[in-house]
Amino acid sequence: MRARRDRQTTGYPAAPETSGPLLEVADLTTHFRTGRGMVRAVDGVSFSLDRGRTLGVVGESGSGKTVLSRSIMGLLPRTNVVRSGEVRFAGRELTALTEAELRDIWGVEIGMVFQDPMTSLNPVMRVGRQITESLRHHLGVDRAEGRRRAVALLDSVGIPEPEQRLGDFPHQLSGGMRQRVTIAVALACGPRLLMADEPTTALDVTVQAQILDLLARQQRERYMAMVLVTHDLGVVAGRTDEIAVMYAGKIVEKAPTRTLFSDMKMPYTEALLKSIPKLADPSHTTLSVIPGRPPDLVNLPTGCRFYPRCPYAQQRCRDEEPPLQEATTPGHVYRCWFPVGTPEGRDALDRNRREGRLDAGAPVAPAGA
Amino acid sequence: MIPAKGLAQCRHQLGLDQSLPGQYVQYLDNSLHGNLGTSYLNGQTVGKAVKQALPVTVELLVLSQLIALVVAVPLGILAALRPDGVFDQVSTGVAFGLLAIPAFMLGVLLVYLFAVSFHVFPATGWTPLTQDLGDNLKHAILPSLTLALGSLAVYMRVLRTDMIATLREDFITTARAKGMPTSHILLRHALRPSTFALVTVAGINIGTLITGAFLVEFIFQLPGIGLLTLSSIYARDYGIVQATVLVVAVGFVVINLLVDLLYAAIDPRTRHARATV
Repeated sequence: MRARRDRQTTGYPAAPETSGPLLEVADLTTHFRTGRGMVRAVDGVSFSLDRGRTLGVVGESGSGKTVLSRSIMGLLPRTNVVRSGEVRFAGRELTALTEAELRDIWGVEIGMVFQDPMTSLNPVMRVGRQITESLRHHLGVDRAEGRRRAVALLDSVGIPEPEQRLGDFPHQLSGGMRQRVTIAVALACGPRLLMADEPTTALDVTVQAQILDLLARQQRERYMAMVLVTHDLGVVAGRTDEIAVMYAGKIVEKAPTRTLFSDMKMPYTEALLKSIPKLADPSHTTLSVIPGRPPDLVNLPTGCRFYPRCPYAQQRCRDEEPPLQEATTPGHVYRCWFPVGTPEGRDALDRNRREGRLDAGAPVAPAGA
Repeated sequence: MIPAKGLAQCRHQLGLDQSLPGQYVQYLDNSLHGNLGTSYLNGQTVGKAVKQALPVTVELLVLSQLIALVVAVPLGILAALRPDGVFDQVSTGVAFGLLAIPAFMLGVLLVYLFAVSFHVFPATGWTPLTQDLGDNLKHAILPSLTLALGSLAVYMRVLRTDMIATLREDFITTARAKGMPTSHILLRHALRPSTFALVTVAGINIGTLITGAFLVEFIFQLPGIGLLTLSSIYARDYGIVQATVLVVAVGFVVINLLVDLLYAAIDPRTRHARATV
């Protein structure tokens, strides 16, 4: 609501309203040319996001989730990047826009919160300036009005004595406070979509929850859509409408949050969930880890990209890449030949356990782990 | 022949009959009180000679550094914008070319071009700033340029390198994600944090340029500290040589002090060093 009002009072052209989803990503591919070969960081990702909804994007380091968020924005290096596919935002095709045109969308329509608040604020610029500069540039507000709005923003992200903080430099604030500032920066012009790229990874555990609650509150109050990128399933559990699990540049499972946790189909999702320690476990329980590491994005395995680490893997997984198929719950899709919780999956897992192997060669975790 | 009595009297007047440490203490005492002694040659006070020469050298240094920075900063930024792009490669080539040309040759070349061939600027001589500003600048421009070109190349390269590193920082991505225009990102976000090395190098460079100015003053016959020192060395006017060495040393220290103070102005983190954990 606030965004709309801002645009009207400042005469900023409103984007054409469409009835469809706010963000539609279709077959988005982002490859980087490197000396070693083509790094396929994002490899055919599709999803859509409605106004006011939150999508969690979960994956390990190197799964392409950060590149995905940058690629959606078009915030990529100028050279050695090959991007294809479609990104429709509020009815506009972002991939067709020049950087100059994108600049009218960045910060105004789409805000972004970055991973490390220690490095994502300019160390030699006062906090106030970092918030007001986009207000002044995009919305053309004057100095006094910019200041007034900056105070209101800092106040809304829970920073005490906002008036005083405007004159501070980032190094004078704690990590949590800095992340609140970067959120204020991202929210300044009232974007309709917020991209939050691991917004809590660099923070203390106690601060993580506060920042996530803050994001959720801002999102509700502003009726913003949000893409929350994280490696931590726990982070997205209670705070998203839908979750997309990424592995090696592809979405391997996507479902409404509740469904994903109760009825996951993809062994990778299951492995991610198992690797979260549980309070109910007795102390000194060995943490379940996923053996091996994500594949090299230059030399991807044929077949399913997860098979070398998968306890369910069979010959078919090596040979054929599973397509994205629909599960029983609407909106639930996954890529697997031997899904979790199906007779095929159980058979595959039993066979591997009997033979005492996992495709990566690591021993199979004992039943019930 | 100087009579022995006169010699002894002269020695006494100059304090040369005292022990070496005694002479040194005397010198320190006098210097601190602003008395740098008198010229052996013409009896003029050393202080007065230095006072006349110093503004020439200072103006030369200031002008040359202004020229160097005014040219080097935009060029460095542009080169950093697209590393290894056409502009970067051409400017790098020119910069190394300039670095390779020694000042005395560059000076002569400039004189030949602008003074002999085109008569735009005078080849030698000086008009004090207080007398005629236009004429003063006319005389100052060629020597300043000679002095500037070497610094310019270094400054440009140093700024370019730091700027490239800064442009890879996360906060630059943040600024881009805010939709700020490129010029704003370069000048308001990237330039200041990219100037630490430039300031350090400029400080040291200006210090060494004081002696670099000797050569340029000689080529263009400017009545600065350099020419004063050189002529005093030839004339064995030790009092003046002593004083100019002192001035150069003090100048070096003062400039480096200013550089340290400048760090605090550029980087707020050094100001609040205690506040960070």
